[in-house]
Amino acid sequence: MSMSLTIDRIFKASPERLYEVWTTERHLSQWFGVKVEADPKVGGTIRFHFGEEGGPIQGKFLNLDPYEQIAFTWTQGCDDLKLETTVYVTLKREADGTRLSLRHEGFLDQKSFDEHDEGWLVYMELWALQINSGPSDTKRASIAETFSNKIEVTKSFLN
Amino acid sequence: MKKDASDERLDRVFFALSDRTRRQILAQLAHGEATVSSLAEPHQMSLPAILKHLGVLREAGLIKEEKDGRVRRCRIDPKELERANAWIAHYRIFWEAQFDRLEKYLDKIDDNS
Repeated sequence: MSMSLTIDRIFKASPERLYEVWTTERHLSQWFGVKVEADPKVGGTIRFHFGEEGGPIQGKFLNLDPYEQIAFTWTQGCDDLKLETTVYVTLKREADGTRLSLRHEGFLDQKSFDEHDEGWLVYMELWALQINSGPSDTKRASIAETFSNKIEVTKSFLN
Repeated sequence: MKKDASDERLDRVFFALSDRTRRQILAQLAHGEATVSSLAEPHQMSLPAILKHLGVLREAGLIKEEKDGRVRRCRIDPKELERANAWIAHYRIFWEAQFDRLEKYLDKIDDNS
């Protein structure tokens, strides 16, 4: 079962401008609000330094089609708790700007579930930890506990 | 952006899952149905506080409550949780927020150039 989400919005900027802010480190870091490393070539790394816990989210550029499409993998987690999804950013010129469609796909791929019974609740928690930057002692203290609980919960949900 | 009914449902599910106590209640219920008092036991909370948490979980469609004489029992409603898939909802919220940031950022760099 693969699942995806798509978000569409028209920005008052040219496709050239949007392509630039999605492919340069300086711009990406500014508007993402966290340090972003990007080596914008096919196979190049993109790394988002969200919170310390869970490590950064990282991926590789799959496609760089100037002013039209940017695609990169989005890998969260680490070691044996890794899940790779893919983000496609498509730009289309419109009369009043540019339509940006973001498609994030590969959630709940069968593959990731065969490998990791823990399932999406665990990934969700990891994600929440990654995104809420700044370590928190309470969070850290509770993570192991909540994880073991969630593994139980998820297993029963998926049965 | 306009929200449809399914977005609202996902928001409720995500809100319900955002709290540690409620996640622990779900974890406890994953082992089988339980009475309200046995759910309250590990949390050192007042009964009204636990009932409030159960209300949030029920509103989100994650659990069901049944009255058995004077005893109230809760059990998990796994179908809804699986379908709702709060994880993806979380990502949607994240990307919408990033789009807002991007909009503001584009305005800012345009002003400076």
